[in-house]
Amino acid sequence: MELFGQLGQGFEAALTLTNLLYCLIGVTLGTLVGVLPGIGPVATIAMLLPATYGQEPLSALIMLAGIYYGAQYGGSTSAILVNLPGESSSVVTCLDGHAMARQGRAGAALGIVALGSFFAGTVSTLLIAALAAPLAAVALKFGPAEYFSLMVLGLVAAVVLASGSLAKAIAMTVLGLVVGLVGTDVNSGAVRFSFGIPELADGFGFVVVSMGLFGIGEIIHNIEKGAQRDVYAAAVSGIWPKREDFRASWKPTLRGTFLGSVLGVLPGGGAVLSAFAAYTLEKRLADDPSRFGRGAIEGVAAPEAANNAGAQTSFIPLLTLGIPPNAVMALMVGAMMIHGIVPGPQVMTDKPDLFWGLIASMWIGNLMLVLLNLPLIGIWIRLLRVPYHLLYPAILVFCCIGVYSVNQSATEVMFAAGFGVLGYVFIKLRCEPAPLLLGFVLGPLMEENLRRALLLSRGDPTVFLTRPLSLALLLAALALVVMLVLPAVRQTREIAFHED
Amino acid sequence: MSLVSFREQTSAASRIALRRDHVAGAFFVLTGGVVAVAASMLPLGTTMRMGPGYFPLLLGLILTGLGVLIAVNADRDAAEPDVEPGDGAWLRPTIAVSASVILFALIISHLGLAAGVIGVVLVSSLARRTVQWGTALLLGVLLAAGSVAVFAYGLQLPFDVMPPQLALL
Repeated sequence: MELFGQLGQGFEAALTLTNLLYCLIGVTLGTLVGVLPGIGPVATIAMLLPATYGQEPLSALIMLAGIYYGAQYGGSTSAILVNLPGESSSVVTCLDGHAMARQGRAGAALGIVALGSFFAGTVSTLLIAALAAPLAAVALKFGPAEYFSLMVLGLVAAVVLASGSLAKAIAMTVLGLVVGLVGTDVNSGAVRFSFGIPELADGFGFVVVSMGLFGIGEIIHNIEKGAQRDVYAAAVSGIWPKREDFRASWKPTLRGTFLGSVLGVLPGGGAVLSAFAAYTLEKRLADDPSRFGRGAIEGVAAPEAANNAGAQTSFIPLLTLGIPPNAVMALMVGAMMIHGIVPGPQVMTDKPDLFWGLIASMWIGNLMLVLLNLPLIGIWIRLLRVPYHLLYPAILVFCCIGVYSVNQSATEVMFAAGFGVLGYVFIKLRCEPAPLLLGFVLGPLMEENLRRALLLSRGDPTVFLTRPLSLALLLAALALVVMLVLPAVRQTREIAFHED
Repeated sequence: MSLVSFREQTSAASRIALRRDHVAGAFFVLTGGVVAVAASMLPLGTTMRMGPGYFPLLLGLILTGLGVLIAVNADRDAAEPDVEPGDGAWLRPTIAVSASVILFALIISHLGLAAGVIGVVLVSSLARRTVQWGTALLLGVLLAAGSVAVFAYGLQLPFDVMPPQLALL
C-alpha cells in the first residue's frame, strides 16, 4: 500500500540521530511546560522559534511539534497532583484526576493517562497519514474565494471555542486582523499604521505578539493572583493501573480518541474542545453520573485521550490546506516560513521527506513520552515544587532573549513589553487572546485572497456564494454560529468553560 | 436576607461587571475608530481593485460596532468580580514586569547579554511585595551564566556577551 510506503519514508527521515534528539528535546520541553503552570505551549514555541534558525527544517518542526503534544501529557500531571491545569486542555482532568489523587490513586490516574494518550497518539497519527492525501487533493482545487471562505470558517470556529462573551471573542479576532495588517501593503507599497516607526514597516513579528500576549501578560496576571499550590505527591505509587482500572477505562479511551481525532481536524478545534467534549460524553454515558468529579477514572481517561488525539489531528488543516486551526498551529506556520516552506497542499508533493517525517516523528514522540513519563514522574513532581517567584524571572529572561534573537532588535523587545501589558489588560477584561493571534496570522492572507477573489470576479462579491466549495465552507461557518445561538449548545459551552 | 440588602448586593455586583464590559467596549470602540480614521486617509480603491485602506476601513468599522455592542450588552454579563477594582494590586506587577523587559531592551545592545539577564531578574523581582534580594541576585547570576552558555555559545546566536566596550580594552 502506498500509505505504508510513505510512512516508511517518513520513519526513515525521522529516525536519524539528530531528529531523534530534537524529538526528545521537544517532548521533554513540552512535558516541562505542561507540568509547570503559568507557561503554555504557545509561549514556549514562540520562545524557541529563533533557536531553530540553524536547524534543518524537519528537525525544527519535529521539535516544535513535540512541544505541543508533549504539553498535553505534562498538563495532566499537574492537573492530577496539584489540581492546577498546567495547560488549558487539562482543565477537565483536574476534576476527577485530583479527586483520585486525594484518594491515594494518583498513580493509577497518571498511568491511565500515559497509556491512553499513547494509544490516542498512535490512532491519530495513522489518521493524519490516511487523510492527508485526499484533503490535499481537495485543497488543490481551492481558488482565492475558497481560501477566503475557509479562513472565515477558521476564525468563526476560533470564536466559538473562546470562552466568555461571543461579541468579545469576535472583537478580538477582528483586532487580530487589524494588528496583522500593520506594515507595508504588498499591493500598493503603502505603509499602514506604522506611526512613523521604521521597525513597523515589516509589521509586528508574531514572536513579539504571541510572547507578549501569552507569556508576559500571563506572568503579570499570575503574580497578581499570588499562585498557591498544594502538591499531592505522597500518593504516587503503583503507576501501572490495576486490572479494574483498565476495564473501566478502555472504552472511554476509545471514545475519547475518536472524538478528539474528529474535533481536532475542525478549524478552531484542537486539544481544549476535544477534552471538554469527551468529558461531557462520558458523563452522559455513565450509569452513575454522580461519580464524576469524585474520582471517576473515565473522567480522566477520556479527556486525556481526546486532547492528545485532538492536538495531533489539528496538524491536518495546517499540513494539507496551509490554514492554522489554532494558535499553536499559527506559530507552526511561522516556523515553516522561517525555513522557506509555504504551508499548504504542495508541501506533501514537494517535500515528502519533511511531510511524512513530521508525521512519523509524532508517533515516535508519543512513544518517547510514555517511556519518559512513567519512570520520570518523580522529577516532574519535584519541579512542581519550584516556587513561582523563582520561576517567573527565568521565564521572563527566556521571553526577552527569544524576542531579541529574532532580529537583534531592542525595539521589538519593547513592543513585546507593550503586548504584555495589553495581554494582561485582556485577561482582566475577560477577552481571550487566542482568537487575536489567529486573526493576526490570517489577516494578511485573508486580505490577499479577498482582493484576488474580487479582482477575478470583477468586483462581484457574490463570487463567494456561487462557487460551491466556497459556499459550503461559508455555510459550515454559518452553521457553527447558529449552533452557538441555540440554547442547548450555549448551555454546554457555558458549563464547559465554567471551570476556568 | 432582606429585600433591600439583596437589591444592594445585586446592584453592587452588576456595577462591577458593568464596569469591566464598559471598559472592554470602550477599548474596542476607540481602537476601531482610530483604525477607521487612519484607514480612510489611505487610498480606498474600489471593490474590484482594493486600495490599501479598503480592508482596514472595513475592519475598523466592524470593530467599532462590536465595541458598542459589548458596552450596551454589558449588564447581561453578570459575572462575579475578579478582583475588586481600585485595590491597586495590579500596579506593582504590571510596572515591574514590563519595566524589566524594557530594561532588557535598553541594556542588551549596550552592556551585553549577561547584564541584561541580571537586570531582568532584579527588576522583575520587584513585582512581589516581599523581595529577597540575595535570592534574586543569585538567580540572576545563575540564569546569566546559563543563558550565555546555551544561547551565545551553544546555539551561537549573535549576542554581545559582555559590554562591547570591554572587548576594546
